[in-house]
Amino acid sequence: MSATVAGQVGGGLLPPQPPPIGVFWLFVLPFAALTAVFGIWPILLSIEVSFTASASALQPSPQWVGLANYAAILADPVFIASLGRTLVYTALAVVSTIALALLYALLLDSALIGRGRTLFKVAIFLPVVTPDIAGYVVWRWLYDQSFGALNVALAAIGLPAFPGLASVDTAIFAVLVAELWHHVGFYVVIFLANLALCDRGIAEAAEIDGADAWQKFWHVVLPQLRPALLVNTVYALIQYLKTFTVVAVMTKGGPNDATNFVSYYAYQLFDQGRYGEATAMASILFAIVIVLALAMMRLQQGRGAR
Amino acid sequence: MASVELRDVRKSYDGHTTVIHGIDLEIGHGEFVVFVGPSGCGKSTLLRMVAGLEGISGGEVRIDGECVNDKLPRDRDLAMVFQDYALYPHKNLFENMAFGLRLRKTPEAEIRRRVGDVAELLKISHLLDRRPAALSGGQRQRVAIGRAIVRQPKVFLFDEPLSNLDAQLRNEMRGEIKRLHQRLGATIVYVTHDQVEAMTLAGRICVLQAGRKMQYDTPDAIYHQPAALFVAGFTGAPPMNLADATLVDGAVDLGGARLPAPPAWRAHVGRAGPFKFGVRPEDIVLARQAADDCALPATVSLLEPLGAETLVTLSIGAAEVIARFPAAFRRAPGDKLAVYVNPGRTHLFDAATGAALQ
Repeated sequence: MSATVAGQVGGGLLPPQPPPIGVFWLFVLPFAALTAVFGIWPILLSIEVSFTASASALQPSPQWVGLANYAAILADPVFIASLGRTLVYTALAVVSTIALALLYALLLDSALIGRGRTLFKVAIFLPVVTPDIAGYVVWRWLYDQSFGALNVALAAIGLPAFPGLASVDTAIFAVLVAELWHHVGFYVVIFLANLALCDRGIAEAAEIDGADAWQKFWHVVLPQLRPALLVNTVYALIQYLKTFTVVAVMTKGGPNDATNFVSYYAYQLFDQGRYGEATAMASILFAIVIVLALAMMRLQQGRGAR
Repeated sequence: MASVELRDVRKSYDGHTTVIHGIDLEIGHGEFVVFVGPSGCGKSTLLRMVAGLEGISGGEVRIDGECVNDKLPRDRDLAMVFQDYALYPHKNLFENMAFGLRLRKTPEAEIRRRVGDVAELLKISHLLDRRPAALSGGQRQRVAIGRAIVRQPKVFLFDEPLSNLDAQLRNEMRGEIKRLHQRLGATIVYVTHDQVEAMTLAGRICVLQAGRKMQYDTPDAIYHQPAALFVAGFTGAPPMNLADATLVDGAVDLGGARLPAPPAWRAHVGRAGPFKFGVRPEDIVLARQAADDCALPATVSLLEPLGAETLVTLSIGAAEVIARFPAAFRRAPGDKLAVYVNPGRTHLFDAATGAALQ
């Protein structure tokens, strides 16, 4: 009865009824089962393997070695260097990705780009749906020292050649550029969705209050983009800490370990049958990802509450 | 305080969809002017053109005699109160009000003094450390008004500031805005679709329809001497009764009932028309008030008691009109009676052009 009255007051529409609980489980269960079987279970198994001797790790009764694998990798200078490199690369990549995606989204959202808006949206999102291996193979060709298009172009305008993947000093940046090309579009879409929800009236109020373009961005737009900033930062942190495909396709960790990140190093050890150490590395990386993601979320929630 | 002048101001989109058709009006120093009209009449667009938030397709906007067409909103020294408040959600109330002053590099002590004074004036001093989300609609609108006042701008612009409030709060805030104007003596341009708000607040009202200025005058003149059929039908609650009429033999014929035409209308006698005859509900009375009041036979068709008075729908000739009678009026639908109308308090409009005829 009360629902009918409320419906009449609201213009003849009945308020939505909660669906039966069975419908809820019908939708949730398949995905919960998939996550448990292909997500959580392998992670738990991997952590279990990290406490066993590599030689017996995949046997029915593995030999437990406690923290020996962890002790071994923490004493391994290659792993320590790889971990440091991964963290530096992640920091660099997260900042570049967020900055580039934000800038691109703001441009797309502004009046500066008129009729070409759809074209620019497609252009930035196309690499996201391009198979990553195919994309990175093309980038490897672009960087090639002998016939790569990049150096041909640089030579044509009289600039020195870019060593790209061939130099210890530039390989990490060359990899970063390829990754940015592949991923930035995804983050742009998230920012655009958030920008569409921003209150334009507040920006107008700031304009009347005397704000210039930068002040409007800093005091009005950016605070309203906090949800997208959080999602994008956490997602980028997770993505770049796990960087693997680009290295596997373009550098194989080289030159001279310059792009040998933790995921790729763990893969190399796994390939050598050193399952215990490889999974110990993966577990440490997993712990770092969880801690950083939770810290980011806590930080953002704290700001939101103030 | 400043004057605002609009000279042949026009606005069109894509070069062919015109929404403002050449509006001229002057707003004096310290004047309270209300733009009123139905949804889509262009009143908010016109206000936003004054603010600089909308470009101008033609004409000039002048503030204190200076053409501001090419000036950015921040360089026009205006303050604006928006319908949905447009407060900065991540700043507390103090910072919301202080923001404009900070951007103008006002000294901190001066900011504290001004925000404190305005918060006191608007009775929101105890809320200054809260964020907008923690406030009611009425409190938010006070903050929005405070943010405008604290800047001490040349002109205040209000864009339907009370539309999101409930009826009781709207009445309270309406009174407060009027008191603020009396106290500050500021130039205010105020947009509303509510003719009651317009009548109660304005020094002058600009009635707009479909991007055209229909009349710009005092509330009294708008109400008693409407220049157009649209203005007559838009103002008053209930609005002016408007009925099809013809002018025959020196009389207004309402399809069976006749009323002597005032001398001024005699020039129109013989014209084919069509005409619209207008009379306010309060100008239809139950007893002769003056020697030239004319009796008209009427039939009661509907009674709407409002407590202090009763709105009575009457059939007079072919016309159906609403009269505002005393609460003690006791007749039933179908009853016949005589009502009195003073020809001097009636109106005649050209039904084709909508213009008032003298």
